[in-house]
Amino acid sequence: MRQLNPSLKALSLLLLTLLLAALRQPWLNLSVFALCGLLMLLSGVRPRALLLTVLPLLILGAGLFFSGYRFAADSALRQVAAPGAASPVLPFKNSLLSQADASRVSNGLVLASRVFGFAGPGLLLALTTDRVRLVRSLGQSLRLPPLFTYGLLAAWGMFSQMNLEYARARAAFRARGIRVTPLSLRLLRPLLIKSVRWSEALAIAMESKGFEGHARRSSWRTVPIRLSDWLFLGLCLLPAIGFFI
Amino acid sequence: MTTLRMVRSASLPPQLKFKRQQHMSLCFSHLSFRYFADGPDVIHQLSGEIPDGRITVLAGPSGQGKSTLLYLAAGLYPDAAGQISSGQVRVDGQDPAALSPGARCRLTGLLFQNPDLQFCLDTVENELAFCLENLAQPPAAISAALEEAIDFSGLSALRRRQLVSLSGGEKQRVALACVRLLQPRWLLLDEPLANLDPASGRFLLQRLQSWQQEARFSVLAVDHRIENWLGIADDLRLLQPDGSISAAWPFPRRRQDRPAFDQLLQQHGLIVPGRSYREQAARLQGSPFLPLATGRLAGAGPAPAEPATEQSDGPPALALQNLTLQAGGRYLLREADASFQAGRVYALLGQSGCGKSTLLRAILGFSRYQGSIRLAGRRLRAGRPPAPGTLGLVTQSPQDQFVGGSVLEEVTAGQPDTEQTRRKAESILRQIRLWRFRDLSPYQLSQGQQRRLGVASLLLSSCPVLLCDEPTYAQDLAATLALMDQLLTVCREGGRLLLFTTHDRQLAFEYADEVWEIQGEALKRAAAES
Repeated sequence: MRQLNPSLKALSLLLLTLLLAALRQPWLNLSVFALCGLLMLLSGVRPRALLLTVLPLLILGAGLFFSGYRFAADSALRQVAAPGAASPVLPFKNSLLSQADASRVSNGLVLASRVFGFAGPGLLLALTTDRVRLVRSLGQSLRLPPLFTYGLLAAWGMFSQMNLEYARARAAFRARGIRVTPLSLRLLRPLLIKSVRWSEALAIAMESKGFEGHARRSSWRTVPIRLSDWLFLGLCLLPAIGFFI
Repeated sequence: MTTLRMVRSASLPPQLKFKRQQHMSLCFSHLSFRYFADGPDVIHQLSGEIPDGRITVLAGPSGQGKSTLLYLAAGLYPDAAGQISSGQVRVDGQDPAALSPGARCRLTGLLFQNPDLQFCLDTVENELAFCLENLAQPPAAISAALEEAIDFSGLSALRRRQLVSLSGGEKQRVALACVRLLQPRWLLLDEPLANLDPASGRFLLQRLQSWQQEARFSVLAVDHRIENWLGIADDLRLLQPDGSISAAWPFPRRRQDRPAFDQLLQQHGLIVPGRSYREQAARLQGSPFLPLATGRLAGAGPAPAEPATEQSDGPPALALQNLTLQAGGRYLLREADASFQAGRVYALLGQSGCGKSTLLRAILGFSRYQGSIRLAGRRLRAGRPPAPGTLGLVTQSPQDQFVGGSVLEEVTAGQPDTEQTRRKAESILRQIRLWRFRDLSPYQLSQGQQRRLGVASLLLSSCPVLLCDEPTYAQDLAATLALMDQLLTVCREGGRLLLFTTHDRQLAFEYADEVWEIQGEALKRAAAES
């Protein structure tokens, strides 16, 4: 996964997500998530990191399941309750659950599984993509201007440092004997000021190294589009078969 | 939500001709510059000329606009900030601000004071390649130049390392490699050694000197510590209070020239190499460079209260037991033990990247560790911050510690809102001459004023332990003496523990009751050098 062209990978995964949004197939969503998880592990993502990411998803998924179960649309219930209609998702014929209940479960499962269906491709992109390769490929493959791609890169770098800045801001308040909650608005002011100053310093540093937003520039490493990138795009478009079944 | 200010689109770069011609100098003529349209001039009617082909050091008191001058010479100002209200800057006869960034970086290169704020990419290799990609060099040429620059700066072992994992010294070596790739005609250095240990600083300057001798380009460096440049630089120039740049004084090449040179430094309030701070403080009394702070210089006025004796009945104010620290997969400290008593001053020395700041971060609860850290006998939880009000903090960058919306709020933050608090705050602000700025945001003060405010803001708080990370970083002599004086007063009079990190051995041994050093993964008492 790490060798794929990052731009095409991002595009493929975006299309996959749009397809999943258009389909109401919980098993497909969960299968996509499982496949993404497998690809992440094969790409060297640490199982522990993956598990820690999945935990909040489980909580969110459970919440959405019960929301979907409780607030299923009446029209969906009527449709299922019609004589001879089968549950759209679950094989509940002759089960103890009524058809209305089956529809509620189905509705909950669709909502909950979508969390995983959307998170899987997102995590796959985030955890297996080198940000500098992504920026290079955005310029080379999609012809985006350096002003945009390097701005993205700089913002990415800043956000990764925000944790430390946040901790520093909290430590400064504690040093003065002031208790601040983790989401306190008082922390916002120093963080905002620092972000502005930081971005200005970074822009100056980039300019001092000859960077120009719209000038022609070369690329030290090319990020080619190979057959494997097209195969991956094809794999991501496979769920489209669901429209014809 | 980012507010990233990206660079302007390029105008077509005029063709630069680097053959030697008659205008080869850096020239300021009647230059006035201000940051705000309705604010005062930071630089007023400044004139002077720096000849090319030499290594020139520019010194002078803090807050006179030396760094601003470098940014103007680099062509980054007034585009990035401020406005030139009169006069002009010419580098080899050209206005650097009128050039496109691509053309400008071949004329002037700037090495920034803070290495954390000068990198755009993630790894050493990518950052170096970024410089040449900007100049549209072909990949093969980039690879060849990259190898040469990596070899020149001694970065072979670090080439694939993440920049955030490097020490200050290593980052400045990467910055040097960047300017080596860009090959500017003028190299401008803004306190490049400010947070480096002496060995890293020496390495950087020796590389720079050999390169300059080979390529004969011009160097203009702003630095308060003249001793860094002995045997390296050609000329010393001073930014004078009347807004002019002094004539060039040659750096001494022979031992017998040193006394006259030292005399010159002393006359102009600069740090004299090899002379004690107390002696320099005494000589500074009555001079125009008298510190602005508490009005009493270390060793020159009434001595602060005596330090607490080493033995104390209660538990130590701060104790480290079997402390092991790691960063980036390597050990910084192994099973370190130390105890620090209230009312005493401790200095912590060590090379760049040895773990001084990491140790402070561990005490503050930013990073995890093995072993235990105890504050007044109470064990802290690793990675968890101590209770509010137990640890005071003076950070390397004063902006990291500001919590108030105005200068007055900064001093009163965390205190009860009473008339007594306001009176005390007024007294403190008048003492450090910031009372007239009380309604301004702390971020609007100059660097020196911010640092004074940072220390003064602890005067009203009652935290028993003060941690200071490089409190005299990039300060001139007067500010260094004033800051240390303030810190000692806070510590002695409040019976608090002060632990500060520094690269300045002389400062450590003169001001601290005990000096500790991190060396080879061990924390031990340091011995004074003869």
